[in-house]
Amino acid sequence: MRNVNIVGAGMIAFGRYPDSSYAGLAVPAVLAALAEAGVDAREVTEVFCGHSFGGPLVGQRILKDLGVGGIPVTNVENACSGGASALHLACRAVSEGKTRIALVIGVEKLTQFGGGTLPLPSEDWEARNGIVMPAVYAMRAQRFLHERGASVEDLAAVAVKARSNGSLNPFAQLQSETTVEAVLASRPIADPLTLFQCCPTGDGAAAVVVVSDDVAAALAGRRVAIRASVLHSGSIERGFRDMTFPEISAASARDAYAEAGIAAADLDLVELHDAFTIAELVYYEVLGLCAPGESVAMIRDGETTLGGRVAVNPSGGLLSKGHPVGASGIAQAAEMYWQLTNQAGRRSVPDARFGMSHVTGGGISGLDHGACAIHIYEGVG
Amino acid sequence: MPDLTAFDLATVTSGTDDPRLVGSLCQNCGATYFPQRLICFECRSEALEPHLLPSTGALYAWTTVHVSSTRQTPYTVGYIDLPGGLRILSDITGPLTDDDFDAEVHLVVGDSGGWSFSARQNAGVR
Repeated sequence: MRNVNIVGAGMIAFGRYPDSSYAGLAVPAVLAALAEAGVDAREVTEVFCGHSFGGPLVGQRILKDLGVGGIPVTNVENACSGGASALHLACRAVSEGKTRIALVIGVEKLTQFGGGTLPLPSEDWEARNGIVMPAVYAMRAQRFLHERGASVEDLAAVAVKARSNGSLNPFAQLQSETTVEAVLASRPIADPLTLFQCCPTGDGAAAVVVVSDDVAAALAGRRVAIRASVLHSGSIERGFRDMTFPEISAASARDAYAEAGIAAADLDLVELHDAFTIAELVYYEVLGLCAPGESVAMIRDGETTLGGRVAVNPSGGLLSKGHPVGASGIAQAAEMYWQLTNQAGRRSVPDARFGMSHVTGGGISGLDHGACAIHIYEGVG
Repeated sequence: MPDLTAFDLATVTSGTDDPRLVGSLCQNCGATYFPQRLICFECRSEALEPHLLPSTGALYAWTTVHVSSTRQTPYTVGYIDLPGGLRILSDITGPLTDDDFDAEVHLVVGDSGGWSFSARQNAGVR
């Protein structure tokens, strides 16, 4: 992908805002992104808004509060990939010359559900029979531990790394570090996953401004180029499926590398979908960050820490930063913008050039996941 | 337009010594399904008939769930691979150990029609 850039990003600290509206969550993030871009709200030519549980017309409810109307506004639901799917649509609109200044918003308020697991549609047979998202990842973990001879301490190490990074990120919902012992001693959710191995539920919003090269040059501010924007849907399978290798993410990554013209080894940082600890170990291999079978060694050897060979989830990831479903993909894009423009403070990945963001998700019988969106970014000054 | 997943159709036979789950068999391509369906998603045929599924399979993975938005906890569910290339989600009853990956599990049907799979022949039903 060429001729698509992020020129501004903003987000609110993820957390619990039970008294806020969707617009109340999103407006501060939008204003921060526009200010960084040097764009007035009324210069925006198109808006894409990702969310899952906000009800009708979330984007318009946000824009009304900014006095913006009369432009195309598209609300995008794609479970955990909703925000990144909105970004995908913005990338297409800008690269095809259909719009000049696209504003992309991701917003979610999970405190409306009072905690617990995300609601899945009751018309899905497996959801009616006891599937919740932690159970999907728990079975993935059980099978992974069985096949690899890995231990629950290896799973816990992912949470420890995430919380360490998150303690450096003022936007993270969980600001404290933790230990392997504390992770394993937290209450059970779905065996072998314990509470600290599951992303916290909360609220949040993030926004980015997406423009072409010409507009970016005219704005004359900091920019990050988007080199790939890929969106996939899950494929139905009646029978056996290797739960340790979700094919939707593998296929999306393959297409993203091809579109960007780079290889996994070129990546300096990755924000991947660590909704549960096991997911990160699985995705090291699925995204090609290590060879098949090498993910346990990768976490044990510290290759994915800040300062490691490839920093994975320097923001703290979903496990520490939080996972307000529709907001997460845009929060990842914002992190890429800050990292690749040297604005990431104490969590900076030094000398980073290429980054990848990856979200997937959704629980549907017979699919590994419903949606997956991957973006590749390049710092260009 | 009927609901393609046909929730209201019977899922298990009862009153026999050999209880079976009732799925669907595509008369056009031979694909099997559970629960029953009205359209085959392999070949889009609508010629699906009720079909008794094998009562034993291999346990791929399982978990005991402690937090759920849909059921009382704890409960144990797992994926079972049935002969013929069909994976189903089922409650798993009876004790399990680390040796039970890929172990043979058996359909168990209770008096009330509730069903699960168990790695032990004589395990009870919830």
